[in-house]
Amino acid sequence: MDAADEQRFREFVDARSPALMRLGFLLTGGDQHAAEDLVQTALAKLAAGWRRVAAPEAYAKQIMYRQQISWWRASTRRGEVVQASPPEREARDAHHQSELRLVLRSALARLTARQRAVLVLRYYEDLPEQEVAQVLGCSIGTVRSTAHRSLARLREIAPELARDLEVTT
Amino acid sequence: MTRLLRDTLEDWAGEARVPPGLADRALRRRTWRPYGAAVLVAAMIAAVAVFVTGQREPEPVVRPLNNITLPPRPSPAPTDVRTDVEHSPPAKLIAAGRMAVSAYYVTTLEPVAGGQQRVRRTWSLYDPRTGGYEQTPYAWVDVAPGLQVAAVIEGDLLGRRVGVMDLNTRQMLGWYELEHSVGSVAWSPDGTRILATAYSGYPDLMQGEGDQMAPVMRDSPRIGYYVIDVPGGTADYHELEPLPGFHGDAQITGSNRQDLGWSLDGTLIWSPTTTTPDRLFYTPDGESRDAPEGERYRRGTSLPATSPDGRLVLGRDGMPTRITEVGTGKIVGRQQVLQLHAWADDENVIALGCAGKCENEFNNGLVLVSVDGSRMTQLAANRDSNGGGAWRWVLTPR
Repeated sequence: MDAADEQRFREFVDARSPALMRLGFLLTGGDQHAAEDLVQTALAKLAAGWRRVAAPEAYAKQIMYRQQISWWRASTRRGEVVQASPPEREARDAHHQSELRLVLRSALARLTARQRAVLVLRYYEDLPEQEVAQVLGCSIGTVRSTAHRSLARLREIAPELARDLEVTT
Repeated sequence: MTRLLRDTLEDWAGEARVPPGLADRALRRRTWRPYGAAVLVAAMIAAVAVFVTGQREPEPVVRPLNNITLPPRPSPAPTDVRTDVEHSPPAKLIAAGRMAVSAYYVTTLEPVAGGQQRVRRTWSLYDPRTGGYEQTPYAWVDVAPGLQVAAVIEGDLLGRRVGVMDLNTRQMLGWYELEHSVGSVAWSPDGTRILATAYSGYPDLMQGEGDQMAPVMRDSPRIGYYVIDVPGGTADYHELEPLPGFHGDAQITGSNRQDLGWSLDGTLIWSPTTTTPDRLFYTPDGESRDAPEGERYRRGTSLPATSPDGRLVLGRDGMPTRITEVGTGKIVGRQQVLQLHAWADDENVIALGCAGKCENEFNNGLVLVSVDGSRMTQLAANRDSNGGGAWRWVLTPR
């Protein structure tokens, strides 16, 4: 990487790190520190292969998805991530939209990394199933069944969400 | 049903904070070291995880790159005169009328085996972000008409990867992996296809010293070419025998580098010769063709010798130069310049001018000269074009 490459890399990071951090934050279930680790890892790998990478953002995101799933499987921290303000479901009016969102966050944080990744790809990145499969390196069938199971799991964790998460695709 | 999910994800993502120094840390590390964990243990766990899950790091090249969407050409294109007479090579864009210096290269000689020397080019590309030029690591570059994208060859002297760079963002829009090494790239006049000339070995080898230095006389290593359709995402290879380099009765090239170029209308390709006519034409599939009628070229280039209005034509090199009427051959103007290079508009030409009273023809630089020779504007600083290290411009329609 020469000076010009480094300059372009820095410009890329400046421009796209907010988007990468938002994605990292979701993939790690709202864990700021884990999200920083994840983005950092992706950027380091991107820097190493900078000149060979045709689409830097897509490449960085792909590393993040796959890395997060690997880390999650390898680590012991499979429990619920502590939220800045933990939702206390029983004390809240579950029909209120903002309350529902907090409940849903908490439920999302309790999914497996793979389940969460599939939901983030489908509903945050808005990718069609075929592209989700490509990014995660699995079949479309696996994407479908994982998405189905993920939504079912969310309903199980937070029954008050059942009505809002009825249909699966 | 997914509305709640979408809204929640969007809303939640907004809580992420961007830590400072991400680029610095990435550049320092470049390989993964997890924070707060024993490196070895973590690496072992990660290795197991990869084994168990089958998750691997994605290939660095993100594919498929079937079709690259090219940015549109500016319309109308700028026509102002831009000069840099202070720096050599130029630090600021040089342009006049419909043409601009889109790139330049500087050559250096490197000794190789057998007492031969190799000519290496270092390319600099126009950078719209600074209005100047930026040095590149590529083996060859060519900017598409419109100055929005460049084709580049990645490699040392020759390369098997051709990339398309967005000049404005400096990002690669995509790469083409080729089976044969290529030594030059040239955009079609409409800026959608790239002609890449393939070589089995590096063609620019010299022998001898000083004034006696000359190309190594051997058969040209040219083997064929690719036509890359950029929006279509295809790269078709065609074999093409080299022309005789130095020995032969017919057209000879006097060079082992036999880079192919596009005809003015982009329907044919051509191979250069040092004889007359100065080029041989082929279809993009490699079949021989007669020269297209009425097309006149600036020698050795794909630039038209005919004025944009079709009325006048540039004359040969040598001071004074001449511009004649296409129909009658009548001389309409003489210019005190060494060479006429490209039409800026119907009345002005980008030319190679000479310093002072031209005591030394190698002390020269780009000028803009009027057809009647009465007006001349210095575009670039004069420089010694004879020595190594002189910069050589590439002119491209804006």
